[in-house]
Amino acid sequence: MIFKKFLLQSLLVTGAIYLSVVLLFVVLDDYGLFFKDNRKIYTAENERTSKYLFTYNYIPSYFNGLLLGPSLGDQIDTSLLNGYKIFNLSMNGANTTELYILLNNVLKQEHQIKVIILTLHEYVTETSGRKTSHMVPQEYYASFSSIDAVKLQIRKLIVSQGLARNYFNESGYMNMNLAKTINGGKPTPLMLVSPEIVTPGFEVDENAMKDLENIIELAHGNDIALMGYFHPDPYSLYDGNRAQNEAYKSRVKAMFFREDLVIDFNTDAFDFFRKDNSNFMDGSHLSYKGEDFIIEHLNKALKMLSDNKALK
Amino acid sequence: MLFNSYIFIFAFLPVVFIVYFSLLKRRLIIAAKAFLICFSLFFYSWWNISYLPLILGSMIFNYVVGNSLASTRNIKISRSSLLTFGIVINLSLLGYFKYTDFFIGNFNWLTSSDVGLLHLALPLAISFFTFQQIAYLVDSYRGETKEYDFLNYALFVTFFPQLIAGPIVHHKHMMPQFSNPRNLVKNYRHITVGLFVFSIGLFKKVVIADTFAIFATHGFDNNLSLSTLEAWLTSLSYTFQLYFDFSGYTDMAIGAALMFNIKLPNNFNSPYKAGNIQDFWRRWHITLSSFLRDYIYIPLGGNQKGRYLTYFNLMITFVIGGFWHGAGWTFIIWGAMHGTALIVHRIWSNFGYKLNKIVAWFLTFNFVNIAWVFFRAEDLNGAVNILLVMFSVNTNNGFGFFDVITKIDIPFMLIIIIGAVIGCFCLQNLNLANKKFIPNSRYRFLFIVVLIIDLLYIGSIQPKEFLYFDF
Repeated sequence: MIFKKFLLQSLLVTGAIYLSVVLLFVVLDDYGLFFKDNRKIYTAENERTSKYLFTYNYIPSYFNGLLLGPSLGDQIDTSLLNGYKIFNLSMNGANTTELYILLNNVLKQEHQIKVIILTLHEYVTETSGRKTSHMVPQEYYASFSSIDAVKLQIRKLIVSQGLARNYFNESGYMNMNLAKTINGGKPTPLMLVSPEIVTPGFEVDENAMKDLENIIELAHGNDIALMGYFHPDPYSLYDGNRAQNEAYKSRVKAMFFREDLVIDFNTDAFDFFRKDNSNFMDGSHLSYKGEDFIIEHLNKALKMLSDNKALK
Repeated sequence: MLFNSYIFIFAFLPVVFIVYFSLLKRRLIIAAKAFLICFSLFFYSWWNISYLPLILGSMIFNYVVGNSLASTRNIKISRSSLLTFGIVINLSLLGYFKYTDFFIGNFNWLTSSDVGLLHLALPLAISFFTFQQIAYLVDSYRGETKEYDFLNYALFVTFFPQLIAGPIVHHKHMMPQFSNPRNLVKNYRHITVGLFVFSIGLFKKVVIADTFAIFATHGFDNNLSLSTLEAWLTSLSYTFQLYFDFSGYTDMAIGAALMFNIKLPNNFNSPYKAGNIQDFWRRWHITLSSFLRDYIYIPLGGNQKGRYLTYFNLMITFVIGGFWHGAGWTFIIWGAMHGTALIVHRIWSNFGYKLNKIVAWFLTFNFVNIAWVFFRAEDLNGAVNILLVMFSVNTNNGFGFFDVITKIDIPFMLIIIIGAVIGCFCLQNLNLANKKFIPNSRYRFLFIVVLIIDLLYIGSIQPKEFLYFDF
């Protein structure tokens, strides 16, 4: 009887504490999974988890546009884009498989997405498959019943006390220039590629190309306006591998429909931009100045896209 | 189905437990055992149902052969031929699934031919249930078994807590427990202690082993870019990962079995506290060591045929032990390293030399750590790369060993890693701690805290398979 009582009491107390913890995380709702109260939600340190969970409710409820890309796209502050409320679903190190998972999840919900912008770069098609164990349905439950949820609260506390800075805004933009400053100006290997160590030539993963096609098809299938832009590479870097770059661009461009909009920042018209090193923070990522330039052009393109749609 | 998954903890285990004891309460003993066997096979088939006929066939074959060997009735062929036949069939099955590609690969390399590999998927637990049943056949031949009931035999082979990765149970230890009427009644002491042991095992796996796994995997995957410090951190991470992973699994198996009133043998006894390599093998994977001793080393002659044959027998036993773990030269080298170390230790002891305890422990631990590099590496090159960096002053600045974790992980990981290392070397062995389990407030507090941490961790990390599932 002593053991029976001990066991039942222990299990009951454990259950009660655990349920309280779960309830607390549900109420805090850091990923906007449950409530529709239009609050600002910031991407957490684990970008993949955050952005994946945002696809369940936060993005479908409050945004009507998406930007998808790798870290190069992560740098576009979509809150500065006009005409649409665009969430930046790009992720550091993302490939097309991962971007497809995110897009598919948004479009499975009751959504209001009207436009999708794709950041095009060979990096997104160099690998396929999920790169981490994250972005799986289990994370939905983990968000309110796991140690990650505890860590997120601690992180929030640290940020609120001014002991750390959040690199993300409520639209999913990652301020890489700020991250670099905070890291003491040292390049972070995941984010930074130095031109002198980049060897020309890149691999193209055919499964990743298929996933890119799937993304484009998904947008078309849902009657969503589509825009793609080839991220500008520093001139010397692009020119060192011009033939392969051009062939890759042609192949990607062929995936788009005539009514889609594709901007190529790697043409002669943008040489002035790509030859100016102050537009880049490293071998491929943009400086604040570079970000502003791209945003200005994306705004023009979005206007054109809206006008085209209106004409139809 | 993994022990560290929601489906096992919240569905499979409670359902099987409740139904099993409900049937027993109604005195439906055969139905209860049959139910336990069926659900153990369901547990096994969860990964891949195509392996089910294999384990069923193996079980029926060994039961028939074992019973024939144990039977006093005349059989048409000699008992030794029957035993040989039984062992050959078992080893052929294991060899076909586990070693065919290894032999083809080596044949191709030696003869410069191009025979295609079969790429067979290794059926789960085949190494474990094959060894268990070979032991049963040998003991049947020796007249050390009785004519067991088929249900009990099937339970001995398939009982889900020990089915996938051991402990390697012995029929002498298990069969009496399955037939003991006292074990057919719910025992709250066993349920409580079982659940406590299970929760500690789960903690070892999801909190500690999976933390070390992050660094071990990252280091081994990038073995060409490591600095000396990173190479040592990589090997040490794996050393601790393997221990906490496998001993965690064993604790979960022991705990789950105890809830059904079945006591599984201990498999670990603080192995990294070992003062010499012989001591290490008395503490590490104890049930495998016992099997190798009883069914390979002693039948070879053990230490009864002179000094040099003893050394030879030791080496053979450990090379087989290494090869049992995996079809690769890295495993053979790992086994040979341990065989050599045991021979050196024996020679050293014969001379009557004694080392200072701390020096002896330090040498033993580091030898074990270095040998694990071969055990873990994908191939010989990977192992050699890491060892070369570990033992050279290289100027490599490293590749960002800690980039795999976020800043917020750092305090959590520091607590886990420091706690685990201290626990490994300084804390009392869990087996002893469990014997002292008393339902007081101290244990209750520990029980609740461990359970809550377990629940928070299993939610956060995608369940990762246990390392010994590959063997």
